[in-house]
Amino acid sequence: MRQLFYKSYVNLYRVTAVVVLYGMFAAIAAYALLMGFYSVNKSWVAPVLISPSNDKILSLTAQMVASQQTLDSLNLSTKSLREARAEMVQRRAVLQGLNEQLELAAARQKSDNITSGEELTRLATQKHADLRNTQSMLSDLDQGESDVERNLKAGLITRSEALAQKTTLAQFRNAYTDAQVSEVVLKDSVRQKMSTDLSVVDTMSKAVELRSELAQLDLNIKTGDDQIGNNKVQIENIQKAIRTTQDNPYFVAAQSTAAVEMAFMPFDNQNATSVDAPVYDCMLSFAWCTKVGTVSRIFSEEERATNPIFKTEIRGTFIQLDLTEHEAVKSKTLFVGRKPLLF
Amino acid sequence: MLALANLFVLLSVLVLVVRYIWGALLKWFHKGMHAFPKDYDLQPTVSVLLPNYNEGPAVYETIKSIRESDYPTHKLEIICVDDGSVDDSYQWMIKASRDFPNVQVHRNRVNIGKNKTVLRALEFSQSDIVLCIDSDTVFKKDCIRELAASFADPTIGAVGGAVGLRNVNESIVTKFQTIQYYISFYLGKIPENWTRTVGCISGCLFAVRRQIMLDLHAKLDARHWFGIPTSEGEDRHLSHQIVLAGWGTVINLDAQCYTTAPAKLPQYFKQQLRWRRSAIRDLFWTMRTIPQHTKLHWNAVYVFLLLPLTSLLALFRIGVGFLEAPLWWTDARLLLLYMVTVLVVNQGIKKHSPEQTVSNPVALAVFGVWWIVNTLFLTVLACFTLDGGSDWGTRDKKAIEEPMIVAEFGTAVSGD
Repeated sequence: MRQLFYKSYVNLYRVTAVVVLYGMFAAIAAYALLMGFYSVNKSWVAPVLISPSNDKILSLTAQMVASQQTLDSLNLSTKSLREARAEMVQRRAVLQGLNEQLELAAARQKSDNITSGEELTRLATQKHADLRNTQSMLSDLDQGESDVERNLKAGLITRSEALAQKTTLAQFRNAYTDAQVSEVVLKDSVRQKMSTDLSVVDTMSKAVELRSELAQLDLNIKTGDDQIGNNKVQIENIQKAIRTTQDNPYFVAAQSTAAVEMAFMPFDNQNATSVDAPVYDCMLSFAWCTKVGTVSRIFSEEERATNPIFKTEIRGTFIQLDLTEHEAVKSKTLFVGRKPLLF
Repeated sequence: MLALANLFVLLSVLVLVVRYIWGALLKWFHKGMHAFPKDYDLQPTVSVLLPNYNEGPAVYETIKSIRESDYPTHKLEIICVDDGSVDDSYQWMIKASRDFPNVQVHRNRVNIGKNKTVLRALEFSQSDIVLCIDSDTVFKKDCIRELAASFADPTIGAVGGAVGLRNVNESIVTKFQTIQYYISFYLGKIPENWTRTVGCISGCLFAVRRQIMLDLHAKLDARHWFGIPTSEGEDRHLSHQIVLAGWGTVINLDAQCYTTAPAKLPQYFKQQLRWRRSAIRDLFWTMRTIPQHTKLHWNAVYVFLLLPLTSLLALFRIGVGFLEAPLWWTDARLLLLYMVTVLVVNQGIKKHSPEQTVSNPVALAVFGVWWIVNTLFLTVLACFTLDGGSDWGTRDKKAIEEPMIVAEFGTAVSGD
């Protein structure tokens, strides 16, 4: 009985051993074959199905919305700045014209003053000389008045004649006084013409205010220009980022309502890939291949992924697939360009 | 699955830490814990049992090295039994029996395997102690004296020695084995010495009380695996049986011998496969006899159960590793780890056993890959070839070109 048990057990053991050992050797051979094949092959890609609910897509969408909002804000700000600038430029032109007129008027006034001043100075000098002569004649008037009194007393003349003569003498004196007043007025006019007076100061003050306002406008226009330039750079950067994002497989997937069929292509294998290149799916990941579609787009953005065979991290890019056999996206690897083993 | 694999790794690491770290601590800091008494005046009679198969002139060298030992000649006999060699081994044994005293030579009529040949040699022995050796081993002069002195403690049933290599720098394979042997004997077996439960005393230097051998004779002779007679791993099995019988087993590192290790990878692979088979058989046998082991020190469970179990656990972990990352084994850090280990161990060898120093040890880092082969393939292969095996291991069957002359040299010849 025991011998029978031993014999049965050993027979079963031997069958199991054959299965396990051949299985182990097959596994070793498959491992070596697969490792060797994927070390040499340069046309494999790893299919990926990117659905709209992918985490990266959600993050990317949020980023895109934020970028678009920033872009809109910048555009609005730039438009406002440009309008403000145009108004400031217009105002500046008006002020500039006013300033030029003011300067012209001031110059003309100055020129007139100089001419009139010189004439008045000459007249004042002449007036002063005339007054001196008149003053010397006034001392003769005192003598004439005495003569009138004497003649009256002497009865040489009548009282009315004496009064008439005195009135004439008084008129002379008044005329002299008037002449003196005129001299003072004349001197004052000369001073006015030849020196700065309050009206001139007022004009200058207004001119200064005008220039200050112009300078302020210039500064504001420059600041506005800088701001517009800055906005422009930011807008370009954001637009560039958006364009780059639009060349992102996740963005493409985000635009789609269904899952998008992509594949990760290692950099080492990119020479085998081109748009419209055929895509093959193989049994056992390397042989008995059938065409399952074509490459529709090659993205340029770098991606990192785990090698489906070696399980190591590798760098590469995504390619978009146009698959006729959609089940192929579930394969571990696909091949681009040609069948890896010619069958 | 991964969590389970990691749990196994944790257990494996724990077992290895106990084996090597605990071994190092005992060896260098607690010598008293693993030491045992020696009495050099004891000098019991010793029979050296020398089974032979196709060793050629090496067997003569072995006999010569035994006879040149400093053990009293009248207390030392050598019993040679040839298991039907097809080379000129037998002639060399006869020649040795003429050249040296107390050498018996016997010959089996048919090849019966090493295990039974040893037991047959035992039948010719009358000594207190029998010393089982390999026919390609040479001994230091004080080796037998050291082994005999180790029986001062009456509870010790068997004593082994430290085994080195005769052909250390013959090839990269032998260099690697030198490192392996050194780690195994000088670190690995120390925790086993601590509780006198050495799980495998090397068959090339195995001293045991003759009475124990006689007591176990029937069990050893009837050893089989589901009805298939088994001869491989007789040293491990005998060590285990002795411990289970209540005797202590120890290694005396001062008793040193040198054996010829396989120099080529295929031979080495076959040898390791035999050893792995014997370890797995022993593990299954341990599992079947667990109740008997519970009476022993807990360290015996570690030695006979946990230690061999780590091979199976490592197998599982490596398998999972290949599924997780098929190229994990190309990690440069592993290579660096092997290089550092080899360099450190070789420095230890250089200091304590200069004759075993390995030249150009850094190259041995390539054997890091062997660890995977050893664990993954050897273990599986061993698990599923337990019904097979070779009695005489790496000794090739060489065809002899000239007819043997038997009777010419015979001094004490017998044949069954």
